[in-house]
Amino acid sequence: MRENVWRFFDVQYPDGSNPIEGWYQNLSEEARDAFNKLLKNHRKTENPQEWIGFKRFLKGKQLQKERIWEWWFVADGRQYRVFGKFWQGERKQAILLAGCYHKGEIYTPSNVFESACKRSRDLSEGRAQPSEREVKEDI
Amino acid sequence: MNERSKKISKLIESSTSRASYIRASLGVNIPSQIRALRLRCNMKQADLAEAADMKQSRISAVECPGATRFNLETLIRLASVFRVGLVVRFASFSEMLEWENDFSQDEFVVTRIEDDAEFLNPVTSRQTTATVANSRYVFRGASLEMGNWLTPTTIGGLVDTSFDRETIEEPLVSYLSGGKTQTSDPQFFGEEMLLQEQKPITETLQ
Repeated sequence: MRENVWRFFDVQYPDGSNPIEGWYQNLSEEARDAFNKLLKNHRKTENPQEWIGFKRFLKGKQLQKERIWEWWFVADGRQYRVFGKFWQGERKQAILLAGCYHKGEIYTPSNVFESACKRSRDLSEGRAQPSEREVKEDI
Repeated sequence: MNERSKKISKLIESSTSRASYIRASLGVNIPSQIRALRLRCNMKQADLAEAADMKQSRISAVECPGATRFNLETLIRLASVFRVGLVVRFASFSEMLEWENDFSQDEFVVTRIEDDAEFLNPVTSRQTTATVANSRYVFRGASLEMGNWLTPTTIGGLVDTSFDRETIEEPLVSYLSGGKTQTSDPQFFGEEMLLQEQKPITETLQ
């Protein structure tokens, strides 16, 4: 069995809140399964540009500055987007910043880009900590 | 109850949960295999689209997790372009999960038909066919399922199970009784089996 080459992290605030976990808990069962399977798959795939569903680095001044990227996957007939970034200076570590629905050109919640940027800055400036994300409900 | 136990309980109790789980698994593992095979072939999505007579947008979708409800014809077309076989069969959850846990997109390689020695050399396969009841051999590179017939199986390959009983029964009986196989045909069990012939039979039979 191939060892995991990537580790994934959530953003954890001192008050215990974890926005990615909050988003995850509100997903449908199928979306949670898909997200978990995706993490499991990506952990073993060395080149992130070969991750299935890896879409792009986002454009926009702040988003580019934070080097935020976007994944997508589809579950229960809805398209989901996950935003993240590679952890500064660390090899094979990625931080998941936010998740949302996507349809047409509309992201729900609509402030997801701002949230992702803010969480990225919070991490850089020490207001939040990375917390390793295990693949939930992995059997 | 931990999350794993909760998940297992849900899967046991709910058909909807089982369907979701299987869908999510296939929704990730099929696109991942397609991407791996395409990259091994040094193909761009446009190349694959042309070879499979599909639109590039369709190839993009089949490589996106969950975006495609695959039909068999699509998979057959892609397998054909990649010059590999395709296996679609029902399996236990444990088997499904074991495959998934072992799967790595980076290391996923499938032998192309022109390099598939077992497929190209059916004579060897025919020689390894024998009669043994209610036993099963598993050895590196292939498995020999033993019901009424000992049959070499290969993914995507068809096996001719006709054989000459006289040619093969004696060495097999010798093997099963713990003695060293004496065969005039060095390819009798293939190289893999010959490597194991000194082991006690209890280590080999499952």
